[in-house]
Amino acid sequence: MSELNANPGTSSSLGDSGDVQESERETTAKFAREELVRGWREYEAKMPRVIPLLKFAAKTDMGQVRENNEDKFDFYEPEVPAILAARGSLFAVGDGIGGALAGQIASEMMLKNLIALYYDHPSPDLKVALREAIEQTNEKIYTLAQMIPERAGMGTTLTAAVFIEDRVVIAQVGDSRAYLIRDRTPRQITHDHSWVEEQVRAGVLTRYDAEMSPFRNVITRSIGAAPTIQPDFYEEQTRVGDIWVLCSDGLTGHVHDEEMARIVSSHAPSEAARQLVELANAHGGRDNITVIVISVRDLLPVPTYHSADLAAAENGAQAIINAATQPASFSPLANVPETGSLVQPASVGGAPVPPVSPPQGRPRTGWRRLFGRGNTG
Amino acid sequence: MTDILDPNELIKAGLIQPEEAPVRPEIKFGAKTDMGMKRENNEDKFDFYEPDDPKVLSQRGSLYAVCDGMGGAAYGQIASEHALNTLIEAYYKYYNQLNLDGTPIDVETALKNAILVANGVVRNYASKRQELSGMGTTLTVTAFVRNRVYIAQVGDSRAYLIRDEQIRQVTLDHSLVEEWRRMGRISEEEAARATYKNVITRSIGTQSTVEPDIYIELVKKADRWVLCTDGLTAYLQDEEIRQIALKSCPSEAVWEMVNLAKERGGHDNITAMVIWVRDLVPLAA
Repeated sequence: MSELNANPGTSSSLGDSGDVQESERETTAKFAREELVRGWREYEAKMPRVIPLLKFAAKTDMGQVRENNEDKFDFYEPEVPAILAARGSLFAVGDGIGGALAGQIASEMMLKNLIALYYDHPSPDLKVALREAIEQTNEKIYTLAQMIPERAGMGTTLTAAVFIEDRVVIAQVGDSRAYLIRDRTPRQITHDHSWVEEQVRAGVLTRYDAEMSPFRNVITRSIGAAPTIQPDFYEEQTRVGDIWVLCSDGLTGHVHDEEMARIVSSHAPSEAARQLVELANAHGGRDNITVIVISVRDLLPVPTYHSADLAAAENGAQAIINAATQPASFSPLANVPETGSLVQPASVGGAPVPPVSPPQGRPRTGWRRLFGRGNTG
Repeated sequence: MTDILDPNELIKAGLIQPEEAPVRPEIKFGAKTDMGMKRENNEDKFDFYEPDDPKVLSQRGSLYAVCDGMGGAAYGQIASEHALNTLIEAYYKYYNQLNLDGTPIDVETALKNAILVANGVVRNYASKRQELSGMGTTLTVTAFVRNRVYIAQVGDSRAYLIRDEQIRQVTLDHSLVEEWRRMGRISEEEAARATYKNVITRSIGTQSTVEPDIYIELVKKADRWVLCTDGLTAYLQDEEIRQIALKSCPSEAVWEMVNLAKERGGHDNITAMVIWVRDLVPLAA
């Protein structure tokens, strides 16, 4: 049953406690309705041109030497076209640093906060949202690391890829990497923030020396190590048939680019990820190994991907209300009110419409409820 | 990947029944694993395997699984990782092998065998060192093969099916409380407030052999499957799982479930996986 059921008699909203008055419930339903209609009008202009049809696989492994896993991957694939248009789908890996269990905590905290802050950010510009999400995540982890002595020095790398329409935006901190494999040829998109990489770029070390250097694990930037952070951003156009690989240094330390390209271009993502991890383990597996393989299968115009939504869009906002008030609906449109926080209130006749305040006495839903409570730490 | 599969060939070879449409479910899933609020490491793990090759797809389908590891220090983490890796490898490796009488190995047998192999690998690892003894893991696997779902269950992680807005717990927990309740040894109320809820009666890696429960269900369009560990079900009612899974897309639903379990205490690791059957499409059409 939908949260937005306007009929208080049959309302069974999640978490509705017994002390909520019937009258309040009714007000709630009205508010949500108005918000919903206005929200959709805002969104109509924001349909994505194309939606990338992705097939991905992800795997994280302890390796052969370590007995815990400080790496982590995460992903977030929204369904609502408006969110896809504004934020896209996000895939990320983090490689935690720090003694005992601190590394594992850092990478988990970082990914949770990053995804929450990124999708909850009000900015229409995704790069601004991504940058600020990373900055705030850094602040949180840095603060925690300072507060607790045994966690001092905890931190994590981050390589995040956002797939939006036919673009890919990469954010990079540390020595995890993003590769683009196009026509079976690998290209390393990101530059490591590592001491050896900086020496190579300064012309002091050769590539071979760098790979052999005992200092190859020393990274120069990480999330949580300093009060401020400067992530690198890369942007690429993506095509049908492209394969993207995000991985931690446990993979790149053991598997060469060409070998990686060969494996991912000749297998399905799931099998490729499995084989890459297997290969890294066979070559020693000194560190935790994490890999995400993302294959761009198609770039679909929205109508093909969301035919059900489009039919609803033709009927305008009424369709959403119907979808929301009639319980028998699996339409992703039922999600539209979830995105309320992304919408700036529309102005009518020049006068700014006051923002709808969250109704009291009812648990808030949507992105704020999901992400905004600061409980992501 | 490059093969075009003729369904008629499959029917001729006796691999599928003529009435069984050669479809494959188009799946979108979300998954999340979290340490929770109390623990400082994560012994839960989820994994998935989605082949492209139509032959593999028609024989073995796509697989999704969750594990909840146990054992001192970080050893639960090792158990769940080894169990999942081995399971996936063993399940898919012999997809086109035949039985002695020339019939293909059916999914149920393949799943059972893969679980036995995983059990052996974890147990073998545990026997290497004294401090590793007692390490093990629960395992809940769903394999979406053509128009069926095969569920294999060991331990107290769960699989729920949400169909036509109704939620149903498909698997039965292998826990002391649940088994006593079913035997009638304790009442529902006693079961609800039992303090030994976390005692499980079957697991991967603790005994020399293991007998998984196998359940088989039909796949319908718009089905949602929820796989989760006890860190989630300890805090969320079935009804809440149903509502959250129905109102949002899988990625969003798992976020919300995990966050809710954390808000309510989150004493254990929490893992949730929502598998949404978007559509049933002809296999390699």
